Formats: sequence, structure tokens, C-alpha cells
Amino acid sequence: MLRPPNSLSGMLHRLAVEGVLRFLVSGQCYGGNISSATCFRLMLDLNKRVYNHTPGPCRIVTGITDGAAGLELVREVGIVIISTGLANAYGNETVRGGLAMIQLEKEMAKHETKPVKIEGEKFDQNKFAPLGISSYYSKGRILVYVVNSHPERQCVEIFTYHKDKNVLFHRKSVCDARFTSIYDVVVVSADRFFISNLAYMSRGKLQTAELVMQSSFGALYFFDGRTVSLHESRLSTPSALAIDRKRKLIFVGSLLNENVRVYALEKDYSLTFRTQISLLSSPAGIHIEEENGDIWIALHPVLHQAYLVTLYPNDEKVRSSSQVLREDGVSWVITEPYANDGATISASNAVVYDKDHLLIGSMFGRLLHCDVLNPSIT
Amino acid sequence: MVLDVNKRAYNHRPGACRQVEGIAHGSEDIALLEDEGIAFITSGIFYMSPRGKNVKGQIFLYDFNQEGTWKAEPLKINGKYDQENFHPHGLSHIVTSTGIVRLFVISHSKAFEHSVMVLDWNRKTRQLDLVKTIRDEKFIRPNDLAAVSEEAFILSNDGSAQMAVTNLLEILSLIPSGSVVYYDGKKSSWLIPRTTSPNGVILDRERKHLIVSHINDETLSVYKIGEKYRSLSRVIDVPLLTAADNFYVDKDGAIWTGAHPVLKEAFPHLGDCEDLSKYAPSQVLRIKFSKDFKSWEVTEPFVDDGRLISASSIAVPFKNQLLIGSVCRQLVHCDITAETI
Repeated sequence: MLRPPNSLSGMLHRLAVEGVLRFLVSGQCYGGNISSATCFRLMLDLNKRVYNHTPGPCRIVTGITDGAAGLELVREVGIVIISTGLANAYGNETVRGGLAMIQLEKEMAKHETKPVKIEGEKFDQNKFAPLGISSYYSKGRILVYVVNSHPERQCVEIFTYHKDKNVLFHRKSVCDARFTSIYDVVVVSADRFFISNLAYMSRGKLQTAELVMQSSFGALYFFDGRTVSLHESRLSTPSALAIDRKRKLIFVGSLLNENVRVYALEKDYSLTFRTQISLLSSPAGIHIEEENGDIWIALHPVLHQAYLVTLYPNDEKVRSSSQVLREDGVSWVITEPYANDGATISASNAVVYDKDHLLIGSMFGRLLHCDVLNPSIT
Repeated sequence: MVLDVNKRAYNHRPGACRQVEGIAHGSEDIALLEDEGIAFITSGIFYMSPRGKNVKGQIFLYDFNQEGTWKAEPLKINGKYDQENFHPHGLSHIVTSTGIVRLFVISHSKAFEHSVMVLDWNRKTRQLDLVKTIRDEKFIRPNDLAAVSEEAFILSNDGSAQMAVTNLLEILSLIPSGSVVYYDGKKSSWLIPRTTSPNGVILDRERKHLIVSHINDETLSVYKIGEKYRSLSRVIDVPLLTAADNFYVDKDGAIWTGAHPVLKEAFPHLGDCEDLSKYAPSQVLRIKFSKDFKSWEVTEPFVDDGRLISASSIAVPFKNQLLIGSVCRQLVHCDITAETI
């Protein structure tokens, strides 16, 4: 059993010293010399809001009421797999974590999901709170990798999806003592994947303190088929992950730094930092359109609202703004296909796009489907 | 105010857009004649910061009924006025009892002296006839106006400083130095003697409420107009969290505005309009109020990072078209649909 790299008391002392120093010294914040107190207020986005707009007609997908915090498009078969029931990880035991699916078709008379049955002797559905999803398609076989963010079981659950029966067979769990707040997973090859760990502390008051002090104790782990190894540490709140297999790029979102880091994926699965995309909005889910290299990002544009939603995941009156950005793969121009103040969809956490179908998933509530009328300018 | 350092513009458009031919030095305000489908556009503003030598103060006309082209034509102004010192700013219009379209136009001279020019639109000659020029001690730093009758209007002074340097100090001090004035055709009176940076002003369709943009507060305020324009009482403050500039009220009563979403980029750009390497994001919002103005919904039909249109100040829809004006640069025309506004 591996132990955390530092003892708890040592870590707390380090946090306290670093926090005090941060507040005493003016530092770089959004490119300017701004006091840390003001930086904190700016980080929470107290002066921000979104203004509603859609890329075309939208409708709520039926069948999802307990969140769609993770979405994964299996492009080869036109299926989107959906994480649902994340509120279970935030203390709501009446909500059951599970997975659902929707088949994307050219003309969809109905926008409805189907729950996916999960089979497997060692799989415990009562300790399942799915978040990020990734998939790997090979020779007709669909492998699905799901981040289980349940506080008692931080693992990546590996399934095989049987499309005809709509069943996921649980094959394996990849767990590690260093997984404290795993968020997303991205598969680079069969049973080889990267995992983002948002913060050193598990979800709760200590994690909040860590995040408030704007520490950089998040990490990126790599599973090589047998063992988990630390790939990169001292990252600020790594959240969403995505891969562009065609261009061999890995994308890592930072929730609090409000950017996306772009890495080149080498043959030995090492990552070489390439560039950083500043968003000034907190990325939660990333989807890559492989044909053209476009990057679709679901974000929390007003962070203090998103935080309140995580405190009250059941309360429908507590809402957070939703936002989808798209970065053009050629010109790098950023457009905003969707924005909503939370009345239609609250706290967008995931997005997928395929042939003018846009699916936006919320943390604890609805799944939204939109038509994209003008894909090139929206 | 932290100058929006943590904000940026994310582009999106309600349909195909293009720059209108003929305008390059500003389209700060637009007045739409719905019955005729034409719009008057003020261009060539001078506002404390110097403009280039070739920048000419003009009023343009855009005809929404043109097909296949997007062109604005400059209008000739007949009458006695100093062209060199004509720099139009806010604009408002009204149809008089004799059916004449009358424009009220704020103009600043190169010495930054202020006046309101009254112009009548001559349909036959397609020219503007100057009726009179109004100067008043309460026109301190006029920005926009709202026509009330063929002789009267409401006017906003967005501050009192007359130079860019003192204006900066005024903004930083947070002292409310703006005001709103009612001019009845002969004399002026205060509606709001002291307030924070009132910018765009417009009457609602029923002409019972005045809508004011407090630009430095990033707030839109609605005021009930008292009897005979003697007073205003505040109804609601809407925190838009973006610097809304001028307004247009459409036939459904929705308020359209051009806004500056990132002030830290707007200020350097507006201080040096002729430097094309500087530009600022543009934003168009549409705000639909409930009947009693107690609730509202805000949508965002258009955002640009500044490369298509820089520092938008006004947006006017007409049928399935949208005209977006900027403080000192381009005029942009977009196609719109009910689903994308």
C-alpha cells in the first residue's frame, strides 16, 4: 500500500505558510499586479455573468434527471455514453450513480436516453458515482473507462460495452491510494490511460481550503496496463482531459487557472508540453472533433455559482451558469456556441458534438440537445 | 471596478455578418425609421481624445431595403453650421405633427464644446435641413438624448470632466459626476442632478419610462417619468455586468444595446481610435422586461473579439436584419433569425 508523499501534518503546515505568503505579497494575477484578495474575488467570478444564446433549437433530453456530468461519444457507432448520479459523491445517497446512453441519428424524432445495465460480480453499484468517461474502439469492441468519484472508492472502472444488449460488463477496477479527487480519464491505447487528480485533498473542507489558497497540488497519473505512475505533479486543478488521436495531442483543462494545456503524446506515452489556451472560464469537459481538430469545451463561467451548486446538489433553486466554447482547430479563434444563466441547464460539465448534434450535460440536472444551425460561425 | 481583467469575448454571430461599406470612422449611434426602413447613423465622433486629420463628422443613411449591397451613404446637411467642428455623438428622432422626421443630434466641437443640432429629414431631396443649434449651460458633457416632442428632449451628461486626464481621475474617484437633463424647447431642468456616468438614454415604447445605462457601474436603470417631465423615480437597477452603451427599443418592447464587455481593452482603443492595431471586443444584448419591469431576461445575439467590429455602442434590429454600430470604427450588418437573437 503506497502512502501519500507527505504526511498530513507536514502538508497542512506547508499549506498554511504558502497561504500566508500569498496574501502578504502581491503577485501576478490575470497578467497584472493585483492583490491576492482581489485575485480571490476575481477567481470566483463575482463580476461575471453569461447572457443566454443558443446555436439553434434546443430541447431537454428525456430520461436524464440526475445529471450528465460526463459524456463520451463513441464516434464509430454514433453512441453517447452518459454519467449520471454524480450527486451521490456529494452526499446525496438517494441518488444512484449509473450510466445511460443515447443513439445519435440523422433525424431524431425523439431525444431520449436509455439506462445501461451493468453486470459484474466485483462491481458495487452502491459505491459508484461516475464522472469523466473515455472510450476505446478496436475491431468492433467498445471499451469504456469511467472515473468513479465516490469518496469511498476512487477508481477508474473499466467496462466492455455490448451494444446489442445495451449492457456494460465490468472487467476491472484501477484504484490507487493517491487518487483523492479524480476527475477525468483519457484513453490512449487499450487499457492505457491518463487520469486527472484535481487536488491533493479529498472533496470536503480541506480541499476547499486547498483550492481557496490557489495551491497547485493536482496531478496527472498514467496507467500503463499494470501500474499507476505519477506523470506530472504540481498542476493547478487539472480537470477535463481529451485526446486528438489523429494529431497525437492530449488536452488538460485547469479548473481554476481557466486554461487548457496542450501536450504532444509521444510514442512512449510521455507528454511534451506544447502550448496553453487561456479561456478565462473554468473548463469542466473537453471534446475533440477529430476530423478538423476543433476543441469543444463545457465550462463553469461563474465559479462561485458552480461551487454553491456542489454544496446543494439537490436544490433546483441553486443554479449555475452554463457555457460551451469551441476553439477552431485551424485559426484558434474561440467562439461561444451556447450560454445559459442556469434556467435551462445548470452547471454544464460535459459536451460532445457530432454532425450538428450538440449535447451538453450538467453536473446534477439535465442533459440538453441542440441543433447547430451555422456550424462555421456559431 | 477592476477593468474586467478576468473577462474576454467569445465570438458568436446570429447569422452571416459583414462590414457595411462607406463607414470606417465610427457609427456611434443609430436612429431607425421603421416605417421607411432607413437608419440614420452618426459618424466621426470626437470625445476628448484626438481623432485623425481625415476623420470627418458625418451623418450617414443606411437603407435596409437595399438588396445585394450593404452600403451607407453620407447625407448632405443644408444650413449654417461649421463642418470642421461637427462631430456628432448621440442621436434621437421623432415624427412631428406635420409628418416631418426630426433628428436631435449631439455634436462636439474640436475644442470640445457641446451643442444639440435639430435637423429635419427632407424626403424629397434625401438631405437634412438644419433647423437650429441649441446650446445650454446644462449641456456639460452630453452623450445621448431621447426625443420627447418636436421641441423637447431628455439628455444625458456622462460626466463633467472636459479632458481625458481629468476624466480618468473622475472615474477613479467614483464620485457621481454625471446628470440627466430635460430640455423643454426653451429652457432646461435637472431630472437627475447627480448620478454615475449615465450614457445611453431612451424612452420605452409607451413613453412612460426612461431607460438609462450607467456605463461605469455596468448597470441598466429604469425610471418612471413624473408628470410633465418634472422628475424621475427609480423602478429597477439591472446589473448587466457589461458596459452597455446606447439603446434601441424594438416593437416588442425589448431593449437592444451595444456593449463593451472588456473595459481594459476598450479604454486603450478608444483613447487612440486611429491605431488599427488596437481594438476592443463588441457585444450586443437584448433585454426583455416583464410589463412591470420587475423581471427580465437577457440574451446575447452577437459577440466579436474586435476584429470584425471594435467597441460596439448600438444595435438596431429591423425585420431579419441587425445593424451594429461602433464608437469610432466599423458598422456591421448581420442576418438574424428568431432562434439566434
